Amino acid sequence: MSTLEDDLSPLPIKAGAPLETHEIAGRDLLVEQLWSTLASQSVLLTAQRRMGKTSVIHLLRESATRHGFIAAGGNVEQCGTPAELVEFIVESLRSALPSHRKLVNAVNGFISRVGLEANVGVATFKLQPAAATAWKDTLVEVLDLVDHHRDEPVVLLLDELPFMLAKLRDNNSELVARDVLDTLRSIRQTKAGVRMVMSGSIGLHHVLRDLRKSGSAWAPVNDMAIIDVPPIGHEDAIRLARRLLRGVPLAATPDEPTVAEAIAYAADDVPYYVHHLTGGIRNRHRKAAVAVTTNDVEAALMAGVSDELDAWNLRYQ
Amino acid sequence: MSTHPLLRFTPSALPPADLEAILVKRDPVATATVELVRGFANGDGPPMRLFVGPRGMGKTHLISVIANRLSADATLTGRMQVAWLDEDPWRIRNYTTFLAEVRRSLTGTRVVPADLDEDALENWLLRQTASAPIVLVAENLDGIFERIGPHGQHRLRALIENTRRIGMVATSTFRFDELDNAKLPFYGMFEVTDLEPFTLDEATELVRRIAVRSSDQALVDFLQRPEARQRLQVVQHLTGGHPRIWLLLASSLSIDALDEVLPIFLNSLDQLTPFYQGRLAELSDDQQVIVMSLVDAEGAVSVKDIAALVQLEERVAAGQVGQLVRKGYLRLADEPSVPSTGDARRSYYELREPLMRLNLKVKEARGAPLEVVVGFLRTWFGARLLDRPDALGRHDEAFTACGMAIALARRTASAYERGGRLLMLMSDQDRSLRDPDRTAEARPDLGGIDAVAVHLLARDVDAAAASLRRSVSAWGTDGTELGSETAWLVRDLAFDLINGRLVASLVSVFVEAGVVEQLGNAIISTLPTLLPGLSAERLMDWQRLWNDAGSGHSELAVPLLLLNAGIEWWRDRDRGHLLALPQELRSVLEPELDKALARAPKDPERPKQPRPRKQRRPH
Repeated sequence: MSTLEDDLSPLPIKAGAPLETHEIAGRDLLVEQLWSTLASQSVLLTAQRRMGKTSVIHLLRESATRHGFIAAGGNVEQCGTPAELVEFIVESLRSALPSHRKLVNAVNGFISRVGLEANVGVATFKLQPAAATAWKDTLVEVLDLVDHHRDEPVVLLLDELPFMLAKLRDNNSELVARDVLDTLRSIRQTKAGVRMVMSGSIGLHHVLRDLRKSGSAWAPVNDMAIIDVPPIGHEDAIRLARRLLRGVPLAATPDEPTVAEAIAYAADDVPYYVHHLTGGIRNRHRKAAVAVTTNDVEAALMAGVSDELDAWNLRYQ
Repeated sequence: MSTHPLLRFTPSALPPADLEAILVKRDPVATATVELVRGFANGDGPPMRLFVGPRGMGKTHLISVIANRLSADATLTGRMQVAWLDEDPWRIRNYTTFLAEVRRSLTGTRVVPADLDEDALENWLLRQTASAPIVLVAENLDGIFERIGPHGQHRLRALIENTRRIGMVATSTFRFDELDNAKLPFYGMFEVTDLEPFTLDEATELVRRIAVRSSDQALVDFLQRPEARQRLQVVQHLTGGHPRIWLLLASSLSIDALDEVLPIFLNSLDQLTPFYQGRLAELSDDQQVIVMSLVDAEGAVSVKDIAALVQLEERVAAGQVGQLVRKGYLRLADEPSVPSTGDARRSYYELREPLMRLNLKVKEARGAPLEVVVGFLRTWFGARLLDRPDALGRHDEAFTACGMAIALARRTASAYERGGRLLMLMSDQDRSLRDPDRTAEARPDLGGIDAVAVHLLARDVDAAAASLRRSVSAWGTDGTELGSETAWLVRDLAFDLINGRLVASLVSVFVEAGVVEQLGNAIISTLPTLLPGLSAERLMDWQRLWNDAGSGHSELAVPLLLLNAGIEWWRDRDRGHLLALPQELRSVLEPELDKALARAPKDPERPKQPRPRKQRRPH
């Protein structure tokens, strides 16, 4: 874990927007824990919305190579059929392959064989009708291919999986959605070199409950380790607040550590709210050239909590 | 001087220099957004900014400034692409046509091959991002999201998150469901900035900049004078700081119109009416009926009462009211700033902009309500700025602090300046009540409001009016001294000489002298003294006398409304009396009630300290 004296370079306030790795604060320990778990087991990542699951997935993707994994997948909510999911995984896998000539050639050969075309870019690869129909075999085949050429395991990042399952259920049938989950489980159980990280904005359990037949004991993810994304550490939250304060043209924050501590405390160390609170302070000080104090934190908190339009998304939905 | 006409409804068509010249209040947020995009070009994650505000709040102006600054930024050349979509999403029917619009704005080609489906267009867009990240600049994002539907929203979010090469800077007229519903993909993903209305200073700055743009140096000079600020305060009070309304009004502003205030609004009715009608037309039938019911009600109304007014189920009415709040038409009325009783669970709603109500009302009532309200506010704010530190204020504070002792002492003690002057005039010779005619004869040296008072007591309305007219011309035109003197007279009447004949005569005198609006002003400005100073019975008398004498005088309609609400609130503290007032009048009354509370005895069991009846003076 970084210490407070470490990097305090300014950061832009971006509550809710996708962050680059250098903008993501306080997730080092969690990511290490995830890699440690992934060494032996796939992971179901859970948390309330806006807690930072997608940022954690992004960090996993960026650090996969260092931990001896090949990361594929990403946000899958755009996939409306099982074939589209396979196409997305294959395409992202091709983008993520290490510079191993034989493997790249093998995957490109596979794509040429099963695909309609092989355009450069993400999500452009389309399966031939036969391969699309046999989407399970196609998925297994490409994973076998990677396994055959490389020792590194593959980690499939399946962010927003519940959205995709809901879409499959609505566009196709409950059976298709169940089939996808069963297939993914089968792959996890039969392929030692494949791990998965699933997460989603809406709880997977909601979708599973809908898909599960009455009285059925169907449990397609009970082999996965459930890891919650908690708030970041308090020191990390303070450091994040300091960096955000430095990233906005405030008049002055003479006691930056104290103000940052107050922000972290008020935000319960949740980065999303640290961003919002600092943004609230920035808004209060856009014109007034006076020093920022802990009173501003209190005022920004009250403004956010009492906002008629709930700009911080505090209401439970 | 810019020769380009000031486009108030399509600012995006204005030259960038003109847009910058009249950019008020929004510069910090524009600068911060441009900085975010610069960071994006330098490797930060994509910006997701959304500016929310009702129509006319300056969204297009702001986003045009941002887009222009990005396009003109040499450091971003080749490192950032700006896809600035049309303001209205008429060409967008679904996700495919949305992507086609993005492509069209990036390439400038109007025709998109019909065989390009969403996969192909996404693919094209992804290839575009390989050269430089893209910022989508879009207005009416709520409409775009509605048109691309959940399918398009999921795909767009996946595209943004999987590539991290596409950001968004957008606007919307309200916080739409996709922003706040945790089951939808864009929940919490935007940093949302509610665009606030202008303060008086900001509005004044806009007026000044427009005057400079028009090379109207005389107006620029006039704007620096205190009376200009007083008049602008009236405009601000009624516009609620709405930027487009200010722009409309400021564009045709002259010194004379500003001095009178009312012509500013009347001259703009033709421009404002289609604007407000257009806003109404955007609503569903039920929502239109609700808005019009609040126009009729004038004050804030609870959902239950709204439901009854428009004959909807309460649940349905609540849903529609919620949508109107989100769309910026209604707002939850502020609770009275003075402590009040009533069912705290009941929420009251009102139109967000007073001028919308007055504009729609004026179409029905041929100008009367607007004229009456503007007339009252012009007088009220005209006297406000200068009367704070004067003797009346000091006397009133001393009066409250020392209670009856001072009330008695003021008859003879000049230390309290001119308080109780009317009584002193009469008691000097101890003959006024017996023979006020002789007082006038005996004191030929009297001038100003003293002469008015003595003639009044002598029941000589014509002489009192003549004295008042002479005094008004001697006091100058800003009304400050007249306001203070009238307030003294009214307050002394209330404490010492209250009776129906005097009040009726007083109204006649001020009507005769053509300054009856000052009397209305005094009725309200004396409330902080009278409410804690008079007994409940005398307050009721006071209320009745003024309503009897004042009805029929349109200039007193607003003051009487406020007087009634103030006295009734003082009697039972029910917030309903205040919430029933139009917001622009409520905000005038509440500070006066607050001062009355501050001057009242601090005994919670006795919130209203009745003033002991005065001893009859020996004859």
